[in-house]
Amino acid sequence: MNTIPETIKDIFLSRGTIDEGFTIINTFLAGFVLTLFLALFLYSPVWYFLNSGIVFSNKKKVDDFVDSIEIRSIRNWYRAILRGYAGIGLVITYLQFLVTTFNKFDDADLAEQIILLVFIIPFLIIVVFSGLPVILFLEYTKEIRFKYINKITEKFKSSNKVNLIMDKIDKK
Amino acid sequence: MIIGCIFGLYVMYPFYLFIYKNIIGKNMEYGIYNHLKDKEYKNKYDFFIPSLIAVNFSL
Repeated sequence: MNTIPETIKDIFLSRGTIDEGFTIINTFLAGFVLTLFLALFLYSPVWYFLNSGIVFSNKKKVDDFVDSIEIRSIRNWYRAILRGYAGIGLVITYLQFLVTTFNKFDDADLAEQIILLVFIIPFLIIVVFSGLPVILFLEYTKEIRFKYINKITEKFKSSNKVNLIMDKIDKK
Repeated sequence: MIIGCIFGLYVMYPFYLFIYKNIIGKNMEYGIYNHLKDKEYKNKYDFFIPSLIAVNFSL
């Protein structure tokens, strides 16, 4: 019996002279559909936090200390982790992917290697744009989204309005 | 992609709020700055991040 990755591989398998290399790319594309779902599942709350406008302050924590009071968005911590993963993690993984793919194409002739080079290098840039339709989704679901976010925010019991009062320090 | 966004809204968002309030930010004070209903997202780079994460996962 085939495992799930093998089944996905079979579905997207391209038969050709340099079969093995194409299998890597096709498996990647098949996997990308599933991982895009997972990535949006994990990352989309970051946009919703921004919509909710929930912020937190460390006032209670630093009241007895000399530390300054900070007011931050609740999403910062979560966003920093995911952005780090998307940034540094991706560069390392992408280099690994390039090395593996080019090793598989060792036997290919010069013309095939040039085509591969032209395709593989900008590949990531093209794929990255595939996530952009989410902007349309967010725009069309604005009303429903805000209604739900407000409902959750009320349950969260953070209905205190934050007033930002700062004394301006100016020499003049 | 759309299913991911919907699940993110109805599952991950309340879950993360709950975790944040009860575990990570237990000693913090919470409030609402404003509801940014008619404002746009300033950082457009944010919309590329899910794709970058997805690429990383699938590689």
